[in-house]
Amino acid sequence: MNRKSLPSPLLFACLALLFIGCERLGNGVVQEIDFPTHTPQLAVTLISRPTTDTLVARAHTSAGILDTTGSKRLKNALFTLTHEGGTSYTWGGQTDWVNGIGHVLPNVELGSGSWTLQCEEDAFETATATQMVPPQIDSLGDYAYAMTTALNSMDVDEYSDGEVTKYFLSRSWTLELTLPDRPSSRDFFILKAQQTNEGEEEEEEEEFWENSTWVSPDIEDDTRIEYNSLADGLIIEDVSDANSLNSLRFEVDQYSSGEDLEALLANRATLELAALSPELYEYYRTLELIANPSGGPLFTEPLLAYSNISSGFGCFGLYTSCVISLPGE
Amino acid sequence: MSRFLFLPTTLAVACVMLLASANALQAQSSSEGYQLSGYILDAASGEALIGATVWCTSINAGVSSNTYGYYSLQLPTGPQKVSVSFIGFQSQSYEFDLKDDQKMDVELASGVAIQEAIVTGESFNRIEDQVQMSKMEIPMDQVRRLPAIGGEVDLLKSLQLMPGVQSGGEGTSGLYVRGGSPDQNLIVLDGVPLYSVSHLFGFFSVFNADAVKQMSITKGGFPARYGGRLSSVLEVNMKDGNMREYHGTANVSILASKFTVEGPIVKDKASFMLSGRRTYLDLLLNPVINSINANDPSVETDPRYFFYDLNGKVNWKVGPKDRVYLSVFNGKDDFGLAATEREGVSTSTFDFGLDWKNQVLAARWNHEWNSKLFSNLTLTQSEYNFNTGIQFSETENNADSTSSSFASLYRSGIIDYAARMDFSNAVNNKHYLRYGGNITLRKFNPGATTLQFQDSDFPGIDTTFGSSELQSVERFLYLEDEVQLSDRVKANFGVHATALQVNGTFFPSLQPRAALNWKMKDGSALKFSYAQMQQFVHLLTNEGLSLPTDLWVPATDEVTPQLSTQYAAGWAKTFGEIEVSIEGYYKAMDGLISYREGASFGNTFNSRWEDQVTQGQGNAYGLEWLFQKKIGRTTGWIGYTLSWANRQFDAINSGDWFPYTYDRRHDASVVLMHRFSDRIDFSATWVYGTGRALTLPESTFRTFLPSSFTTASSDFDALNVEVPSEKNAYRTSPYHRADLSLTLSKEKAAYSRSFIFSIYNVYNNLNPFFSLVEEDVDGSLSIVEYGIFPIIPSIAWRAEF
Repeated sequence: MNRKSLPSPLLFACLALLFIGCERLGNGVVQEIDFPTHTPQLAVTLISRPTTDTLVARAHTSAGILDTTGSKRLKNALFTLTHEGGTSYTWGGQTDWVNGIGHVLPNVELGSGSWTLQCEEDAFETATATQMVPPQIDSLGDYAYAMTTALNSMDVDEYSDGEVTKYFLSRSWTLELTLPDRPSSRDFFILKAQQTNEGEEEEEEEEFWENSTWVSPDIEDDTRIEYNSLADGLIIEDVSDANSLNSLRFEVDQYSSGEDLEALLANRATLELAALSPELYEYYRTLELIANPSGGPLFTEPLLAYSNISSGFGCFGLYTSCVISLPGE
Repeated sequence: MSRFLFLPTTLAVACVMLLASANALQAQSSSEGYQLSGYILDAASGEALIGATVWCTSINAGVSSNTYGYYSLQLPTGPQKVSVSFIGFQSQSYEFDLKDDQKMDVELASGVAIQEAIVTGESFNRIEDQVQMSKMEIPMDQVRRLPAIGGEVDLLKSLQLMPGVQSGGEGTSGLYVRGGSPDQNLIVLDGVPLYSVSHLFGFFSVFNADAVKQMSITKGGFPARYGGRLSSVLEVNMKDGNMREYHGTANVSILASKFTVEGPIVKDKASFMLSGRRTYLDLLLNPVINSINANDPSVETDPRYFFYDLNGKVNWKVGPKDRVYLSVFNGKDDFGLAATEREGVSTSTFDFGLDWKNQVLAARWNHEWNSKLFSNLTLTQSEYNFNTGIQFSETENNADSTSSSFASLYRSGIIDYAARMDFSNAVNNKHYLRYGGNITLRKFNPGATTLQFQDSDFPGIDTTFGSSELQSVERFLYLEDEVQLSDRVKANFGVHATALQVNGTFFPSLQPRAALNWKMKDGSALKFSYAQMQQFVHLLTNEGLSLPTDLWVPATDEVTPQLSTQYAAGWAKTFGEIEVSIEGYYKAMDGLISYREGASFGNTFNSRWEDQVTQGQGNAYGLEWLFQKKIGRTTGWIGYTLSWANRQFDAINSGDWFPYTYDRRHDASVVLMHRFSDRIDFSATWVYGTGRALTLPESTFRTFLPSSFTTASSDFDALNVEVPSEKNAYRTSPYHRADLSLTLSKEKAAYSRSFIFSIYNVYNNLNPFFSLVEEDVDGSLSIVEYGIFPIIPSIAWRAEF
């Protein structure tokens, strides 16, 4: 290529433009998007067992996305639970506020029927929501579940540093569960391991061996069963046919370690089984999709969390529950 | 529609086709006149010219040559004057005394050789003469002169400059036509549908401009021969290959290089064309990435990205009435990153890969049965595959010598085999029939995941799961008649009868089509059209960005076909060398799909795709203005679109209507090209578009979930939840950009060469590409839009020999 055919001033101009462009790209910002002023709404959470002796309700304000202080608690909120028969409980305000917990109403037993929750706070539209008691199939009542368990394997490894001997116990069970399933209604359950430590899946091996229990479905891709990270358990839902929750098979694995082998063997793995109201199920389902978007935050279609609270956010949800203990041997 | 209507109508269409064929085969010269027919060719190369006009001035009527350069026109007996014209070529006129059917092949000389009129073409079949509305064409000569990012000319990006056709986002080549989505465009290369037309994650299209002879896009008023998509038909035809001389081009830009060779296999009998293109982004970027990692010698990285495409075509004049074409296209993108880390005796490797590939094969046979009846048989295969995988392995080279590896592979794809027969029958001066049929067998692989695990201490796992393969058969028959109703009124009436069979479900559809041209006394024309369209394939895609992960799936009994009805009305007139058209349209769509709220392509990896989507409806309406000058030293156009596009899904946005992501109220473009001399060409473009609609997180609230279901109710985990706005309630900033290009050419002894200087985004306006919530130093939050393409100068070198 000779000098005549190469228009060098043009090349210099291109290089200069490239430099300008790179500098502009370095800044990157096109503009900030203006948001309208956010109108705060009530966010109410009351998730409880009707048979519990304590109800905890919480009310927060929603906050604009650019508000650095975020959603604020409302200590003066007043809650009223009214039964269809007329019975009602009212609590809230500063007097019932317990730091770190919320608005607490002790010694309550919600009877069967429809209960309406009302949350009132100055400057907010009153929020209401309704739940039925029993919230869904009462797994401890008329629709009792059935199960069989079998210990499949048990391994004990011991490690000694000369002074102390430490035992590592791993056990695996097969759990076959038949859950109540009404033909005309959708039923929802959560099955989760009752953890005695705060261990998480990603934590170090040592903590993992402290005492952890895992439950997993026997069939991969079972459309009735889905892991929910927020519940840290398996959400089970029926399909259209009745008796679709018969003989669900799970594998339960327990890992524990300690110096007292007898104590380790006696420490039975326990599971929690809860029957959820449809509203509570929907709340868990949508929150999970928001918290763990399948395509990452960029490629997942935005989703509004389910709410049964009128003119606000949150959930009034009820559940019943029981503990399943697996045999030690 | 019910079988009750579908079957008799289909049978009626078939009967008319048979009768018309039988009648044409016994074609007799009638008292109305004789038939003039033949091919219109480029005098230099022998290539067929598509859309050239044959115009008889004595009867003030004419026809256009078809995709194979063939024309047939009935003329009265006696002396006739016929002119043949095509943009970019010198017009020719012939005078003769017509006494019998006459075959006349016409060769037009390129206008480029003429000093005084570089781009010429006396137009007889003007926009106001055509029944077809909503069809646009940019001559390839003009496409090649448009400014291009990185110096890489792109067909689809040039179409985005036309009214009614919008781009998806900064730099991307997706087409959004009259409020439709990219999957609603039928993009055919030499008669074969392509399922993915993007390279480099959508920044470039797969079409190599050097290999393309002609392209056109139809946005509405679809004639009955078109079907299968709701929003547009983009026809791209490859060069056939020079029948007379060997020629070639080489093109080197900062992103890719390409070459094209063409020439005769047997002079004036058979020819070939071969064109290839490859990017060298990997060669440019790898040294940079490796130098970044050079500080850590224990880690070796091997990033890769490249794309290539190959176009090939052979055509052979088997006899005076028969011609055979074989076309092949193969394109692939390969993206990946491999890394190896060595620490002591252990070695761990990581390999991520993503590739997608298109392959198209077509065989076509033209036969001229007689001067009135022309047919084409097309046999095609089109395949698109997407693969992605990730693999980890660990090896301990100690006494135990343990190793383990894990691999996850995902693949999806679509392949179709089709046979199509088309007839064109120039019945007489008042009726021009087109009819034909098609059968397509499609195999869908909506996604399968394979997991492989190997460990020296455990038994291996090798399992595959995901959606099972689906197969569908789509058939259609069509019949259309371009009819002269009176001196001033021409029309095209047709019917497209189609049916899909999938999983034992049968979807019949009868789609009426009508177009009317009413010539006014002042020479302008009012045009009207009506078209019903049905689409039997869906594309699972996120609205924000078109990715190779987008998944083609068939209509099923759970996810029904897409339907549209489009009405259009327009006015057109040519003022001197400037064509002016104004069109208004209304399009109603049903059976559209969208991911459910909270879903994404990630869900389709491990669950049924049908569960991830929801169906709804949409509408689009607007007005389009186009002022286009196709001939002369200065060419270009000004386009403006005022439009609305909305969607409604019961399961999205609480069932309320919302603006479509690409609802763009204003869309304008100005394109100017000027040839100063044989050596200097200049072009400039400016585009403006209303910002894209998007959903943003608007607020947050705090909620609490039980830590345990069996212990105290006070034991809760707190969670902050983002609340999105109403669907697509916000807008990005408006998009606007200007580009310039200057081409300096020089003739050498054996070849000509050009330097093409382009500046993309001349005034350095950073257009929005994505947005993020950001925290400033003072802790305040803001939502910020980011752009990715500032001013980008580029240079390309081109040689023709």
